[in-house]
Amino acid sequence: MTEPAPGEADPLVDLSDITLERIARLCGPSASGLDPDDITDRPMLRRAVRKVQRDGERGSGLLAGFSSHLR
Amino acid sequence: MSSALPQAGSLREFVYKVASRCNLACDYCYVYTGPDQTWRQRPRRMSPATIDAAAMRIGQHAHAHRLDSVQVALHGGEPLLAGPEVIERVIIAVLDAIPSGTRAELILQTNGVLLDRAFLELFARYQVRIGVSLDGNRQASDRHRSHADGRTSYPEVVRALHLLNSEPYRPLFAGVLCTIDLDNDPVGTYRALLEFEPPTADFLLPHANWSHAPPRRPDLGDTPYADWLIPIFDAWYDDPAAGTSIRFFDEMIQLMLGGVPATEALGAGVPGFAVIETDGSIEGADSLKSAYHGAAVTGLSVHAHSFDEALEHPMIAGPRLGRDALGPTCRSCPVVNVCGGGQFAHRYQAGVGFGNPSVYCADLRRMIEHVAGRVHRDLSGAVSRQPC
Repeated sequence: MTEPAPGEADPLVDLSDITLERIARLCGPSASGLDPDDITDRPMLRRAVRKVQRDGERGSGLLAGFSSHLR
Repeated sequence: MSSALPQAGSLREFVYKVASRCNLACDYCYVYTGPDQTWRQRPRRMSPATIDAAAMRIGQHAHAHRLDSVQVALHGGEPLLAGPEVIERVIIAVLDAIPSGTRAELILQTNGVLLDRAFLELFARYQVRIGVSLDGNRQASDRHRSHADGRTSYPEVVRALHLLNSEPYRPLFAGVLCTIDLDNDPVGTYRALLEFEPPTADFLLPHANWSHAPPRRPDLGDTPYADWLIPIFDAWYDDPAAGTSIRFFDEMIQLMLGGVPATEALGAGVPGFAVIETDGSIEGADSLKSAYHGAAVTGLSVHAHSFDEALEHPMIAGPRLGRDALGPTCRSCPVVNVCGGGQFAHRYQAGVGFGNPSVYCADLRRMIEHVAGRVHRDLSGAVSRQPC
């Protein structure tokens, strides 16, 4: 992964670069084995990593919900 | 897959329209001011017979698909207009109908005007979580969320939010839903929502499509909704103490990381919900009402049909096709795993149907590029620090 030069507009990053699977291939044994605290200190990014790990453990069968109410 | 996991092709979320009228007259409401006017023929409240039939169908579905949990959303109109007896009957009927191995997650989405201590005691008894619709500060609220006679609803909603935020009710507070208005200051709106310390907030794109364009402003660019959301994203993302989850942003990041969709707003997923109207009709997503009159109608009813039968209907099955429901433009797009073509209703065009990209395509693409760029920079740093 490369960082854009300072002041350079972000090109569209290759989204496959930032999946947990890709990070795991670079850094760890598996996506589920990554420690979110090692990856980032941003709380929302840690939360997202944990959620993706949980979803991975639960497997398929997860379904998207109604957006006109909160959970 | 273990036998404890749900089978593919099940519904997990059931939206009970316990009341089909509202005590506010919000001028942007997709139920009352849009092309769909089916509410005019509906009973004002759900009858006991319909409540029980719907609960029986939910229990039947949970049993057949071995669901470990179902979510039941009490919705309207304004659901509190149904009154505490009707609401409690729904809760008890569902709890009685589901199998012993199935957990019920109960939620209510309200405008807050009628939310009082008596309702909260009822909700506390059954652990019903509560979402409140709030567009920002008083000025933002008063642009759209008024009573029929033009009176503001804002002070009543603020009173409800303070009550909901007080002990012992605070654990019931699910969060706030905010519909975007480009005339409102974005970060000011975000800060106004945070004043109530919601566990979750979400920003909803106004329902629109290719035949009914989103509200625009001539002085703004081609991606006004992305340009409105990005300053909020940056304020939120850069706040190390941000305790509020912003569902739209969280979901976008999760999808970038390889997660699965959480709502119909993003991601090429398979919506797993059905709506039950006050007369027992089983319908597709509420947002379809913004496309054309009768768009959400299936012709099915809990009085005569199972939810398995509903799964076969195009207006429930169509959005469930995920990526297969998208047109060629979306299928070849590099961000399709994140936007999923946008909300199904936002793809509609009269005479064409739902095969277009979202009417918010440019905004979604711009937003995803921005968020991906920020996440990418953070993860690049993480990778370079790891002993890979």
